[in-house]
Amino acid sequence: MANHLIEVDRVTKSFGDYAAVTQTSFNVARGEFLAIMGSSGCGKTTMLRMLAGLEEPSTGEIRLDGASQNGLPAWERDLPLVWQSLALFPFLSVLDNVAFGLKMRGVPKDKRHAQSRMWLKKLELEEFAERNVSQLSGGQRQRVALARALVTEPKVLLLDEPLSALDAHLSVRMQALLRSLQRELGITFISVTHSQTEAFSMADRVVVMSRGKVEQIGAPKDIYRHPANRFVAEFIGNVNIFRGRVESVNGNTATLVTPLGRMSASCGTVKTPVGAECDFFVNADQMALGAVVGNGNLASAKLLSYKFVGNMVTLYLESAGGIEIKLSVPEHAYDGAAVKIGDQVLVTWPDSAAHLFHQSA
Amino acid sequence: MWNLIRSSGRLYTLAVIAVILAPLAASLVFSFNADRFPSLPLKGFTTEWYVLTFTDPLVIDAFQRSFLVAIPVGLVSTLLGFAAAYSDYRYSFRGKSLFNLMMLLPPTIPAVIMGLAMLAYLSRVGLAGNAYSIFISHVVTGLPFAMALIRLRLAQMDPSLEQAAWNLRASPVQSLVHVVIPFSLQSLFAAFLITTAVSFDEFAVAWFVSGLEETVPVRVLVFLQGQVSPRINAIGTAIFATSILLVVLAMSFSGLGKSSKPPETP
Repeated sequence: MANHLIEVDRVTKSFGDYAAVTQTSFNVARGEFLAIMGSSGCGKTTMLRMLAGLEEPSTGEIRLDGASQNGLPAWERDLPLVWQSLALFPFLSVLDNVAFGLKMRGVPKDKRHAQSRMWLKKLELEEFAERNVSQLSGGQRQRVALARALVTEPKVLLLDEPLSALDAHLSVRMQALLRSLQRELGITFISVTHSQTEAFSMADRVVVMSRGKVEQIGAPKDIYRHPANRFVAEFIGNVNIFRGRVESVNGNTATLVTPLGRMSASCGTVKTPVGAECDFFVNADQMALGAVVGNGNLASAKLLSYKFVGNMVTLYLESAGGIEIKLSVPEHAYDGAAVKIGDQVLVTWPDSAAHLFHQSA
Repeated sequence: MWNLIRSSGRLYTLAVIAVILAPLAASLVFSFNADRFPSLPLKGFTTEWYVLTFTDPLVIDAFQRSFLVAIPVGLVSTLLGFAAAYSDYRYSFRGKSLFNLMMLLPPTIPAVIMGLAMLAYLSRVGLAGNAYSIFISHVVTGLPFAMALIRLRLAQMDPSLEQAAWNLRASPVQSLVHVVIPFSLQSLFAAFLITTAVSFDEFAVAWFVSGLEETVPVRVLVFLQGQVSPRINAIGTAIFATSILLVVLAMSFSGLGKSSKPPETP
């Protein structure tokens, strides 16, 4: 038995001259909730379609339980997909939609109906069993699609942008439902999404993709705190990226000369030659307004605008030389600082908040 | 002002409908008129012409033959039309636009030319002058209508629907049977009824290729050549009633006659 339920091994998919997915590898553990995240056109949907057997990898291999899936047609795989468009059968009742997969497996009528009803009950849809799918609301239809995919009790469930069609309120409830279903059933979920909130709130691990390549794989918190490269940092969007020349390296800490002055950043395991130009990042929520705390870093910048996000305020500043700085502070801290747009303010952060990227990108 | 435009528009529509229906209405009225000649004033109600028409063994024969040809034409045209429309929907292949052009070509060819060409071809392969020749020619004539109707329906199908069926372990054949055909079922009925009506009504091609095997429209012409009989009105009304019934049924299946509400599904 393989260690991993699914292994994606150096998979490339080309359409003519266009490579949708390039040399992509990752593994999925049994019972894991994995999210594949990226902006549109990054290859995440192609990846999902290859898992489902709707596309064939050009090179590389996908293995399920150690067995190669290459060349296996979609209808011989057991990887049901919840479609972005839902793709419910409009000419069938809710019950027959859910029972479809069982019918195709030759399960007799009373048995497949009983099993489908059980799933409808689980998803609080039993009263709609005889209805036509067009008579249901968006959230109900979403649950029908989920029931239809889960009714055969697969080992893996694939989800393509499962929440994109729902309004914010429903989306949050659906996230909770998906998460609890996944825990309860112990099924492996692989979900494709463009939304960071969705990926981070549901997944155990996230695969960040861009332009057909994997940029980073890790737990949501690791990706959030330690984006591996500039692309991921920009995608996450909650960090400041600065560029500087390495002046000296002392243990885990590098001192860099930047247009904003001399700064320190932790370099972890990254080997950084003195004199090299490199990027480093500072999480926006680890910065503060005002006086220096301990052995911190300091920058002076002008407040351009601000935006309230719940109880946090995101401040947009610009320092000398046009370098943008973004920081999020609690609302009370912003009120306490009493700054106005156009004011020159001091921004500080501890050395431990600054990190060099692990990869150059 | 707007009301004036609206009411004149309505009036215009009514006028157009009246002009189209006038000959049919006249035929209907005179088919029940006791006078031998179609002239006013009407002489009284009679069903004599219907009795005469439908006791004429030649007419009965022609009706039987028409249906015997029209129903298989409807079935085969629908089947082939579905196959063509599905190929167009599902696959991309070299010369696809040429294929579509060829599929939709027959209605643009004048019927007389088509009839002549059919006769020339069928007589060469030894199939002219019998019911098969009418059947073959009418399938050619009806197929484009069937394809067009079914294609229209398939164009509304979410492409992921069929893939969703595969994903739920339906083989391509099972997907066709359990998803694609149920989805386009209404258009299949509509195509069957329309192509049946096309075959039932078609005169020019049938006249060329039928030989002694007359269909109803051909029989009507033979009547006309002999004498002007009120039976023409009776037979004409019967043909019209049959065709309009088929077309109305087809429209109710295809949803063409309905407003833009989403098509209801059983």
